[in-house]
Amino acid sequence: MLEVLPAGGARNALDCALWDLEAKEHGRRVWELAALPLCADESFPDHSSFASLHSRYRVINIKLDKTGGLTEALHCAATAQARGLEMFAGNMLGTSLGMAPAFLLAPLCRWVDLDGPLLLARDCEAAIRFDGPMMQPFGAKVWG
Amino acid sequence: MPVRATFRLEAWQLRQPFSISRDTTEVLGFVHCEIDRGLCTGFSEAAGVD
Repeated sequence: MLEVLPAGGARNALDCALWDLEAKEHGRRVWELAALPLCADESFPDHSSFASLHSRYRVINIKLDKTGGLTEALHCAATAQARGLEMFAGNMLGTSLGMAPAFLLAPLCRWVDLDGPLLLARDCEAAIRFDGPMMQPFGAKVWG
Repeated sequence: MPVRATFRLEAWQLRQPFSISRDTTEVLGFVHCEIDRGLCTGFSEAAGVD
């Protein structure tokens, strides 16, 4: 179909209808057929959530305000790695001081979303520098 | 060595209202923490989760 129809609404309509049809024919959901990673966000507040985490989740969203700090977040990351889960570093909004500890999880995460300071009218005095969407490493004046 | 912890509530204005399915936030509230021990002070910040 990609070769027959140009990009646009007509191809979108046919393409999405075919996805839906194929899912129903196989008794599965489209996100399963497309092998999209499903991320546990509200379903993953802290380490105790691993016990009830559905096997369909392939990613966990780690937020320090939910885990209750960096200590528990690192514990969660270690368990996630052992289970072959990917990680997403999220936030509950805040200044650079609130984002800085979570930034330490970045090397372990496939996705990092610590843009809280960009949503504030002003950040704290010692702030993390953002070049567009890219967070830059910070010094001890910010945190740590 | 004695340790002293101080906490204060802070409110920070957002650039523009932040909306999710549940509500809209215009001012962000969080706890600022300082822990002093000797000549050093540790700082942190935490937002509430309800």
